Amino acid sequence: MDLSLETRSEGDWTVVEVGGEIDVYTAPKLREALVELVNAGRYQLVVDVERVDFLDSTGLGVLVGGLKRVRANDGNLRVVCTQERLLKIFRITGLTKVFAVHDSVASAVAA
Amino acid sequence: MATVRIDVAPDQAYVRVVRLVAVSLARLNGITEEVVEDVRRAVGEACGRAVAAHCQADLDAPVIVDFQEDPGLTVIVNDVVPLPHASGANVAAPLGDETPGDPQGQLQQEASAVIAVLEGLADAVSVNTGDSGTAVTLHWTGRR
Repeated sequence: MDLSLETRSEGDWTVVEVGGEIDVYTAPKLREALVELVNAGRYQLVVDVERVDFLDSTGLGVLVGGLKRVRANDGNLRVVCTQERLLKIFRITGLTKVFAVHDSVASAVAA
Repeated sequence: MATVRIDVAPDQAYVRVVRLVAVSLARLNGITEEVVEDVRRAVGEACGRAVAAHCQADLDAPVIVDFQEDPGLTVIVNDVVPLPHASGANVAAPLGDETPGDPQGQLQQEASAVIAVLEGLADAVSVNTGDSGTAVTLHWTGRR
């Protein structure tokens, strides 16, 4: 399964809904999408990975890169994830301390 | 003696194929479903690192992945990137040692991060770097 990306606005936030596999092959597409949003002045991002089947360290690197970019503009990047198998990789890499991980888009934009 | 051996052209598009084979062999060897996810992820990380090293070194040679059922599952990911270009050579380098604009340094840093992730996913991990390349060995004991 390839990567799917859908972007929508929720108030001040831009929600990026990701589906499929974020791996070493598809991660550049996500990176490109996040860079484009930042270049377009969207600094309040929610990345929803609920429909993601697989996330590797390259994908995590892209999320960290996105976080750095929005923070450079006083923005924020929040992650929506409830899947245990994805949360495990955030824990192993210590990134639960870096990302605000929410259980729904509603809670991410409200926090 | 490998049960299954795959030659992978150095293109990241094929890493997912290796992941699928890894998952299939893990299930065949009675590895529990929770651990199968770890196998999928770890083999993907190790193979992605090796393919990246080949691409970086501009090598057309394939990355070779050996699967051994012994019992449990052992996966050996072999790249043929010689020293001093081997990204696995400096796996003990601390994170944050990045030299900006130095792709080799960045690759090494990424390799360190990958090894750290592998340690969290496999029951045993070993990395052997020699003149002819790097072999990353991952092992799962099977049912726990």
